[in-house]
Amino acid sequence: MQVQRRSKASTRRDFDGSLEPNLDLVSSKIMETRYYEGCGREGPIRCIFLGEFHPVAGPKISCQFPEDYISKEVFDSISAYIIPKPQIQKCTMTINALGHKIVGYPIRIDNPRYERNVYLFNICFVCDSWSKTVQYEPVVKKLGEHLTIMEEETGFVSSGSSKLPTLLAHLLHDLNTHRKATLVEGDTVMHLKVLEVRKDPPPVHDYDVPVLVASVGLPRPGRPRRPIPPEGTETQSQEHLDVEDDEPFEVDMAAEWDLTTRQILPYINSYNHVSKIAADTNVEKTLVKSCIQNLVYYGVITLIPVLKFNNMYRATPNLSRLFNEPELQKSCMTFIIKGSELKEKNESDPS
Amino acid sequence: MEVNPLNIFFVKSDSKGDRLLFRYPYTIEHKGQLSGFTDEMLSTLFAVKAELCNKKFELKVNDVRFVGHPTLLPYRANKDDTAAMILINIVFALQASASHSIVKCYYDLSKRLGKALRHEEERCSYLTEEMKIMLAAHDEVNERNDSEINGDNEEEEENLRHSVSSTTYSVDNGLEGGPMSAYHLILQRSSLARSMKSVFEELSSTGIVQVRVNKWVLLSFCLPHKAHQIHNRGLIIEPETIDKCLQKLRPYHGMLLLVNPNDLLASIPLDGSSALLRLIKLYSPLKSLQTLAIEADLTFKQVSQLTGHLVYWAKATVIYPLCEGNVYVVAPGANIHIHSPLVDEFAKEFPGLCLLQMLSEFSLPAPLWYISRSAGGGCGGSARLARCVAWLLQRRLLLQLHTYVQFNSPHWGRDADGKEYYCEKHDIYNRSCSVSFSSLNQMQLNVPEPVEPRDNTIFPDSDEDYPTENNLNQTDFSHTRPIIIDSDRKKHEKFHENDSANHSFDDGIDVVDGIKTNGCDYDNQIDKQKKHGNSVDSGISNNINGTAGNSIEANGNDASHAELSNGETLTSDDKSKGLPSRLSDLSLKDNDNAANNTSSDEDRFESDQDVSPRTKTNGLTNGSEKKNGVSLNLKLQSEMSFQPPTVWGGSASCDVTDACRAPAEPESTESLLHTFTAEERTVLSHIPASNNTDDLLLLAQLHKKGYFRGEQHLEEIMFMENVSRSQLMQLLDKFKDVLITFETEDPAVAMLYPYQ
Repeated sequence: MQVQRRSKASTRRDFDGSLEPNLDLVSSKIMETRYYEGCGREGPIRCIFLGEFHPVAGPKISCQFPEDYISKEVFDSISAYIIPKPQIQKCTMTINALGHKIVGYPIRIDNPRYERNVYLFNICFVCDSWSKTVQYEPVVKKLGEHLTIMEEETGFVSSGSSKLPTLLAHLLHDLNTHRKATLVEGDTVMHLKVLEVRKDPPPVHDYDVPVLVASVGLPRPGRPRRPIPPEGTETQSQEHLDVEDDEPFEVDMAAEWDLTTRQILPYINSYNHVSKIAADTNVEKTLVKSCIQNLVYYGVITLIPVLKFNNMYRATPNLSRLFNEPELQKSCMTFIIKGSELKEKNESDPS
Repeated sequence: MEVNPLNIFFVKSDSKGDRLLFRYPYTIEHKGQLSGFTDEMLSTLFAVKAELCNKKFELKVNDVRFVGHPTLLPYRANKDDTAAMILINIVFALQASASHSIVKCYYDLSKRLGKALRHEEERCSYLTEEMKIMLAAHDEVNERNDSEINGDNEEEEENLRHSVSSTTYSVDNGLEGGPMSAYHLILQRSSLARSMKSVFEELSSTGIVQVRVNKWVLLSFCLPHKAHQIHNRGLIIEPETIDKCLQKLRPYHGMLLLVNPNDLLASIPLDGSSALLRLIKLYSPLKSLQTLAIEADLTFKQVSQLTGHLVYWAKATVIYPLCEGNVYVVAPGANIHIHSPLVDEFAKEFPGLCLLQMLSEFSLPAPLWYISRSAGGGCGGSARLARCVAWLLQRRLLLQLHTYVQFNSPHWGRDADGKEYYCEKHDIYNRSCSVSFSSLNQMQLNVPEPVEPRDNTIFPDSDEDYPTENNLNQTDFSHTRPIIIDSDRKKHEKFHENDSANHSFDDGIDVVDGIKTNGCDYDNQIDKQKKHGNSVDSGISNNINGTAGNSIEANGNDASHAELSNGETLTSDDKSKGLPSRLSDLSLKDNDNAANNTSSDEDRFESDQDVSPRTKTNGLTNGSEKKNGVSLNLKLQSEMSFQPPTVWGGSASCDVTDACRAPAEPESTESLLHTFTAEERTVLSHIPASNNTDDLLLLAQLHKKGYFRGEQHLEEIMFMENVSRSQLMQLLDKFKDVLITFETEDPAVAMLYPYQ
């Protein structure tokens, strides 16, 4: 993924209908009620456990990190969804019960070497019940399938390997802090990454004009250049990796974009519409559209109608933001005077 | 669509095991995403452990989400066994992408169905009877299938009993007159199954469920996400939005029913709230909620809750009561397709009118009185127009715009380094376009109320009263000028040009040393200002001594100014220093009665003068002697009270405070004025309307209460402060140099629009 998300420590104010005088009040209220069921926020993984069907004891947790996060009682009451009936397997199942939201991918391996000729297991991620967990589903699935291979080859899971607890601990830590993890076990290398699931982008029309929201190779207008953290230091220490929707991506031009994107990016100038871009770059129109749709999905660009002199524009309620936020004003100014004045500034003030 | 349910399941689990008793729809073509699930699988999944009972049950498998409320209830399986419990679970299958609030509504429905069944079970063992019927039907079908297949294959029979294929098979055969699906049989025999079927069907069609369980318990349920689509396709309103809207509901808001009030009255059950009945009987889209509350003898809270209730049930929406001054525009995302069914509906409702023509009237924001006057003949009177607009509002084709006011502090538009930004192109464009565009705007946008007296030159009398100050006004205006926000601004500019042209004419007569050229050359002025802006600003700002300042200017300008030097030094000095008068001086005085050029006050002075040197610069760099005339004029006016320059601050403040204190309550006036910063006061002091204490007081009051932050519209200010619209409009006009207006929607109302 060439697009990087900027991490932002401070929570951004929520501007929906907040009045200036009680902004503090509002924001503190938001802080309090941030996490509730249906808030639509992503939460961290609280626990990872391996559930299996024991030939004698039945469904049980064979290994979990942190220890005892899911108690025996809780597990027993939901075990039907962790180790479901043999017909259900290889599908992502999410059960939200008793304050936990558990994402699992039940797997069944038929092999005469097992006591019951079959081995059932499920590696599960446990999150808070309020959080959104769609983004973990592909990870759980991939992890499950890799473990299946490892189990088939070496019996890694069923043997109760001593490496398993450390593996889970690593996984939990890496996925929560870096949103990706690489597991090396014997010959198997597993790359896992939590991808953010966003809303489906709207269809792109010929007449839509793409506008860059993020800045390509430049800091966002009105904002200081992002300090580049020195290699190796990890700045993201918070556990809650919230998706701040109003924070656009910063696009790194140096990164390797796909060829089409590279080709059309210079033509996205807030003025060219899609079919003009297609004509100018001599790229198939459908290709341009899907490329632009992809960029819209990641919030790099947004679509506006063609700029025409007989267009009518009207203020939106957000206009009052412009009066109340010096930050926005500055950004507006910087954007408006983009060309000449910026140059002047740079010339007169080389620093 | 993700709002619609995929399926409804009825599962029981008791000592005899779990069983999927009924599902709807059960035919194969309705399976879709559920095709992978056999009935047996589903029943094991939905028969939860006791720990999960009477709680929300939410399970997501691949792209299907199951939600239900497992209900545990005592069950009399046998006459002797009283302690037996049975678990029933009515589960809805939804698309996994359905939002949380949809899921919550379905959960609620499942819970209420469970409660109704528990009640009926306790009352008359309804559940027991129905379950017997269902189980019997299942057994009957199994037996029939067994006999047809001759029971030669045990395994297949086992399969058939539980799995999807049994349904397929049965249905296929059912068409041939062979064995029927057990569910089909159940649907014929069991009233509970029929209730569930109607729940499913009503959810899929309207989102409003009215079911009598066992012909006894009435279950009314509304899925607002769906229900609002009855009137507006594609409009999804979540209960959370309605809650938010209710919080923002004010007494001045009104209610617009989406259905015929008589039909609505008829549809309310007999035990409906009498308050609701009264409210609907008194309903009119012209009334505000407050009026409704008074007339229906209810508290506002009750009325707003009832409104919220009606909005939830998709019977009403929130509007600002219809009145002539309301400005409407075609709503974003409105269906304006020429072949939309709305066109026919509209023609039927209002014979002789065309929907598209009507909408075209509102393609630019237009107040109702304007429409009624221009298109009044076609509309057939204002009553019909009001009905017409109500119809359009019901379909969310129109959106009301309100005027918001923003106090423009002098800081605005200046960078930290004091540099001003403006756009020359924009300026030129305004000048060329302002004629047509602003006149249009003036007509349509901004004059719902009596024309403001000082809007243009039709009141020469008032102009004569303030011949110089108008020019000052203009000068001052050019300072704030670059910040061009909206068309309204342009309008003002145009009028200023007119104004100044007019006054320059007056000046020609009045002015003492009247070598005068046309004084309204903005470009010139701006250009000059641009050239001088920085240097003079920085040079002068902390230079209190007028001579020094003047000498800089003299250097910078043509020699003619030199002639003015001595005599004029004082005047221009007066002008620049003396004028920050009233408001700023109040604070000065407050701080230190003998406010002077002392170092202790320097900071304050600097900030005060942030603006005034600019004014002076403007006056002198105008390239004409007109400004000098002005300053002379001013001198003539203010000379009388004027003292030697060293004590200007004190003297001026005396002068001003006297003027300001004239009314009874000097304290409040003063304290109110403190809501403005020193700079703002300076700017205000240049506005002629500041001379009128009442106006100034009103402005300060409103500003103090935060109405000029672009967050409250005029109607809200009118309501909250009990001022009339004309009062406000006059105030807006008098202080148009510092008040920016813009028209946009009321967020509380706009929340219920689809584009949000």
